[in-house]
Amino acid sequence: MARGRVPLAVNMRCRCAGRAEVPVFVARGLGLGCATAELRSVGGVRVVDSPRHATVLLAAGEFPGRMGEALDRVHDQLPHPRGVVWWRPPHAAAVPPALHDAAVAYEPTRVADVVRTVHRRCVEDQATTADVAPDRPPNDFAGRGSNGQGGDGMMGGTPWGRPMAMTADDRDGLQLDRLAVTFGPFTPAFPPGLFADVRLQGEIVQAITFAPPDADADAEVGWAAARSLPFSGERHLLHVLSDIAWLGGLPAAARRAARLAGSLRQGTTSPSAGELGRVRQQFRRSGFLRQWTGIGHLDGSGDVARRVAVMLDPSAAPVGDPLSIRDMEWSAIGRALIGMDWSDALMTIASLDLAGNWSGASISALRRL
Amino acid sequence: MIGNSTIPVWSAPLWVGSVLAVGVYVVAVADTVAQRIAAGGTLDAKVLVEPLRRVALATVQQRSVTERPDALLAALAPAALAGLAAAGLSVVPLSESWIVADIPSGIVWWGAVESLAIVAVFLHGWAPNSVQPLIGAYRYVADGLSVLLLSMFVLIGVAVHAQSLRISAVVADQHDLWNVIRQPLGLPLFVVVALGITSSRPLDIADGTDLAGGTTAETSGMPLLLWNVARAALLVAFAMMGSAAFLGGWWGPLVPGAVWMAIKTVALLAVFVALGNVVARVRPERFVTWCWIVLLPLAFADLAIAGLESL
Repeated sequence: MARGRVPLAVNMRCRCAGRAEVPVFVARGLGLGCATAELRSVGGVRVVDSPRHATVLLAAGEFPGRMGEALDRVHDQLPHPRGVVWWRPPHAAAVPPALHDAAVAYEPTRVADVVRTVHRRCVEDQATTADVAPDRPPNDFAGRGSNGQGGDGMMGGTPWGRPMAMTADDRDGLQLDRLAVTFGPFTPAFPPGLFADVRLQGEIVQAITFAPPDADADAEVGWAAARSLPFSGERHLLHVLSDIAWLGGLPAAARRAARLAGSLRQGTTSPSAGELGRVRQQFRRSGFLRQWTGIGHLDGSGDVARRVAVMLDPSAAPVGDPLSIRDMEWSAIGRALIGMDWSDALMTIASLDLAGNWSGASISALRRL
Repeated sequence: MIGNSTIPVWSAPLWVGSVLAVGVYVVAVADTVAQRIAAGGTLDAKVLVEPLRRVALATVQQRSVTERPDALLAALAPAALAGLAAAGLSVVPLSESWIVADIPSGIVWWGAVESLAIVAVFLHGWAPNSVQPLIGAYRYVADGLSVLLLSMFVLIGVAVHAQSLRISAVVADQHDLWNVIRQPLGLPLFVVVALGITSSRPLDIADGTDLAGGTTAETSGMPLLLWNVARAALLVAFAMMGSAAFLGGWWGPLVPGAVWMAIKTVALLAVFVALGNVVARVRPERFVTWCWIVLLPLAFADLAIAGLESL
């Protein structure tokens, strides 16, 4: 529709919408696990938890293999009008279909500007990206079978290509539907690229199998870029604290930690004890640590509250890096999550900081303050 | 007119709708302001127009449709929640003469509103036929049912002293002393009830960030806007009810009663919003435990105090 024929009220509405804080869903790929926290520190942009709430999809990093397919599905979930921005690492090779028409930004300082520009173009000009995947079930309907398959009252099997939940004993000995769901790779609490096949009864985890990303590639890509920046250890921990605060219902603390990390990006001085103290104070006074005491206990690293307390105050950790989880096996983590509420499981995973291969380097950096 | 009210019935929707609309705007602005202050950010005039810009954005966005949703319930849930907010507000007096429906059983009516609000939130999570909304709905029901009991005992406490279930009588009874002084446990418990029923931070059990938005995870555009508006409207209704039941309602010197009621309502909304930005989300399992082991006995104690004061 030509702009001159658009009613004035509609045009004003679109222009007003174009000036709103941009709702962005961040799909973190390999190499840019800090993307969500980075964006929280920027004004004019609002990081949302569901792609359904966003007008812009920010794809940050690389998306090899299954991650590219998942990105396509996430892209199609954004409502129209929608736009895509790719925060592209310089060495990125594969270009998933969802990113073919994406606006590209290479520098973190430019990402927010590009996001805002794309948003205004989508909303004011009604420009949008087309669906990548066809909107139909993975399996076609093959007719009714001799054993009632495909009919009314069918139980079990994979109708329309999706496993149907069947009942099983729960922890109280009752029969409850057990649902098989795949989470990831862009679940905010997960490290980028992690898939988890989960069996839930209600929201209780009954079984979980992780498919982690290529750990060496992620570490190399992520840390090579991060180490070139000043205060990389401090910034990484602040990003992790920002993500944990957001997950735990502390948006203000999340933004404060993210803003502090952002101020270090080009800085020449370490964060002051006062600034860090305010982040610690918000965590402590909010009751966060009390909430999570006794939850997510893993041998060698304590519970969620202890892991977060050490992130907040590394001087509380014994010397010698006892809290490194680099050698922890995925199967051990999975076993620890069985029987937990799903939200407790997410916080446990987030507190392990699996994306950053959290090590004593970050802790000792903050110890100097 | 219904009961002792002076508002013509035909104008009631207009009055109630206006009060709720203003209240929802106040909630939106207050939440943004509180969050920026708590995050150490700066304030500017954009916080006043941002809610309106978000409304405009919602009207531009497509509404998402999941696979095989319950379309009727998806449409019914936000309408029901907004309707319940209006229904609850209709029995709360804004001043000595301004009340839409001054019914003899206003406290019971309010209890029914709270009960049905739980149903509306559950329906909102059921409708999309998706995992995370359904988890949000079920865990909200667990917490909501626990919190409902608190509400009943706390509100019966104020009715006992007023010797009436009429909310205007409860306000009139506070002419010499507010119930927040008489029954000090009542208002803090009512704040917990308000945050729990409306699923507001730190009790955003239904729509939390840990569930990608919970019952709203699959919602976009106008349906999402209507749901958020309905929740905020219910929070406004709770603030008004709390002001009437515990903060003396229209009583106050110098300015008209309606102005005092507005001041107290805004103050209570500020408390709700501040708690949401200072306190971490309460884990659902822990909240249920607290409700039954700590808060419910406190509600009994509050009722006992009310009973003793009435002797």
